[in-house]
Amino acid sequence: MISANKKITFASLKVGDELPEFEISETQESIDGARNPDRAEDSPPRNIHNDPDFAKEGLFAGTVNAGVTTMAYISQMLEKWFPAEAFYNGGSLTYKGVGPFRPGDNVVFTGTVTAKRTENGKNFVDLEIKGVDQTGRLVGVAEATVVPDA
Amino acid sequence: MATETEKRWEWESVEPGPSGEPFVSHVTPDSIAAYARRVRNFNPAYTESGPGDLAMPTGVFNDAPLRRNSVAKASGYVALEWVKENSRQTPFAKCEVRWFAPVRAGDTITSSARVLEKYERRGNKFVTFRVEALNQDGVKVSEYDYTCIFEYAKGQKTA
Repeated sequence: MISANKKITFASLKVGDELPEFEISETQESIDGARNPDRAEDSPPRNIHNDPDFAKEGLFAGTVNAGVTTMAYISQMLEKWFPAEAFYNGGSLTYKGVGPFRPGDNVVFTGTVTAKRTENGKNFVDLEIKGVDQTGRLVGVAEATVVPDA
Repeated sequence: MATETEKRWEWESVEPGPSGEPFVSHVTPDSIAAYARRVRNFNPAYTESGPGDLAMPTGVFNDAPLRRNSVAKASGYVALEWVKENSRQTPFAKCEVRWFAPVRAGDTITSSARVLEKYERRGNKFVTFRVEALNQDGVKVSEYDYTCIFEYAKGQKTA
């Protein structure tokens, strides 16, 4: 497990290191709060995030959070160990939604270092992350690449 | 059914093509803090952001939003979320974001979105959009590929 009390560097990381868990839950209030009120004109009039009546007729039979909000949670998880600069200088994040993240769900994200590599003098660390809800259901999986010494 | 002037942007009509109109966003300490709070990241580096401070990396989704109706309009259609009758969601399937340069308070981000590809898998029909974000110096700071489900395999509900 990576320690919170130690500066994370490329050299200090090992393949197989586990990131500390990150836990977060959703409520309808938090899903509504994720909307940018200044961009209302860009939001569809009816949607599966903020319109329970509309959402209950859809695939998920209820409201769900936005996938990019879940990506922000994963970013938050990673940022506890890697500074924002580690993303901006050649990092990436891919998230695949496996199941809905609904109001009332509590999701725990876990992650592992899967590779370290140096390309063109830049050190990259690859990670795999997954999110599982309170019932053990897989909500989503992610792959991230960071440049910890950026 | 679409109205006479509305052409529904169904999967069959989607083709890689023109970009939607550019979107300009001014990154400020307030906008960095507001985004962080909306996604419940209470790191003071963001919530107490000052001039020149770094934005949260996923802030690209706020500063360079995917405005799919703008892309639909560029091809003469109306996105399914925006049609007046029988509107339909095209939910998130996956997204890959790549960062190339920092975004800081004081930057101006100009972004545009276009259809990158469409494909069918196990009866589900997907569309991937690419959004590119450039700063005031014309440097591409990030891009993301956002895939949504336009149509479900038969037997599943729509959303």
